Amino acid sequence: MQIVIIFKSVTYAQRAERILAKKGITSNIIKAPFGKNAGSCAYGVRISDKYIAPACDIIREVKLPYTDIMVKQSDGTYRGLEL
Amino acid sequence: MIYFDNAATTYPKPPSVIKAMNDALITCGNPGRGGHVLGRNAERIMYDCRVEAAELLGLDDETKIVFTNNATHALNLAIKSTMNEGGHAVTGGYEHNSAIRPLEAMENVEYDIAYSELFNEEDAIRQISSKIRADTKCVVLNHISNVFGNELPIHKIDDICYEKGIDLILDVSQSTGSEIIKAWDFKAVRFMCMPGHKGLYGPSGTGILACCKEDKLYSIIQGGTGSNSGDFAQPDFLPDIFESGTQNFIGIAGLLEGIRFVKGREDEIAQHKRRLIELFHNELADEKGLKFFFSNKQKSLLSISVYERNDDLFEHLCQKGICTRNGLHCAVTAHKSGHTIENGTVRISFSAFNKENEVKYLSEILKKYLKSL
Repeated sequence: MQIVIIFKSVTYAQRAERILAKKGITSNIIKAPFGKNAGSCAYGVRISDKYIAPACDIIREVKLPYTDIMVKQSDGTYRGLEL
Repeated sequence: MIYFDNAATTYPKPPSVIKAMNDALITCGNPGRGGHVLGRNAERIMYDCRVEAAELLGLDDETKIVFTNNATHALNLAIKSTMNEGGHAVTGGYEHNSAIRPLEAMENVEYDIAYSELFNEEDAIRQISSKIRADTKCVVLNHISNVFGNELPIHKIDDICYEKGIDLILDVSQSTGSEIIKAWDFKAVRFMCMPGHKGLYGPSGTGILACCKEDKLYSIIQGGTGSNSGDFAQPDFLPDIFESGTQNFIGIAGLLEGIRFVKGREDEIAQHKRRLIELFHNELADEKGLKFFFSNKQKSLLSISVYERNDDLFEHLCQKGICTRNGLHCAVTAHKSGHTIENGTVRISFSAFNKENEVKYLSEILKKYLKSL
């Protein structure tokens, strides 16, 4: 299952990607699905669902604010995920 | 051709800069908008450049690096953000017009210029301190004069500003890349402003606004940022608040390689330029009719004068294939402080690429010119 942590700008998403990589978590940057908080034009880091909990811990630890966490459903749409 | 106008723009550029720009033209699309492969390539270059610049400048967070068109653009953002609500500002006596004119243009801003004796740091501190008032909001200070190469005491002024709760804006146009300037060494500095095309060996059309503090930001330019697009209001966070419109990612690709060229070599480059200054001075110090503006602590460049013949000397050097710079160098305050406002000066400015034999050649040309007078 693919999960996307959404940030308010591409620079924040890039920072998250680098920080997660340093901690051994692989992610990749995508143009974010239309998030209710970020609006359009946001960017996110896509990660495997098994890493979502440690990834969120790392991102919170470095005080990098994210706006949404979304999960891609089988019909191709995204829904918000509460952690 | 011999090039001694590096204080304006360094030339030549490292081959890696040229290659990176050429590659970016082929491989990059609009960054921060589409998310496709060409956009991602551009975004990666921009982010890498932020990381390298943040490391170079001692910033803990690369989002504090804002790309600008040049140092003038950065200074406008810094000054107009800091002085947005009006108030009193102080500048040093060796400022470029890119610091003075934004202050002059702001109707709600009063400012004083602290003219001081050339090569006298104590006098600079005394004069700047004397201009600070109870309602002073910020000091704008050039680190190294683009006219004389004299260094202003930025750390001591930082201490004074911090004690008084005043913001400090640093213009590090002539020092970045050949002086070690770290944000962590300052307490009152809000912004550091620099071009990409001088000591960072990037292309023209690039510059950096290093934001040492993240509060009280105000942008004079609003527009598309690729973020918060559903909101009419400009994003309030770095770097987006200051980066509206498509960024110069081709130039930034070159700037990235320019920063890599100087990073970790700042001392070596500074010493090389200092050796060239001393060689030039030693070759010509005894020549009559030539005024030298020289000190033992001068950095990167120096000015000379043959008084009312400065323009003639400049033209003569051009004819000999030697590029220098005459006139006021867009820095009237420096010429008032240095008492050279009447004739300006002829400026010789060095880069990492200049050679001793070039300086000797210039010296010989100058000696012959002086003999001919």
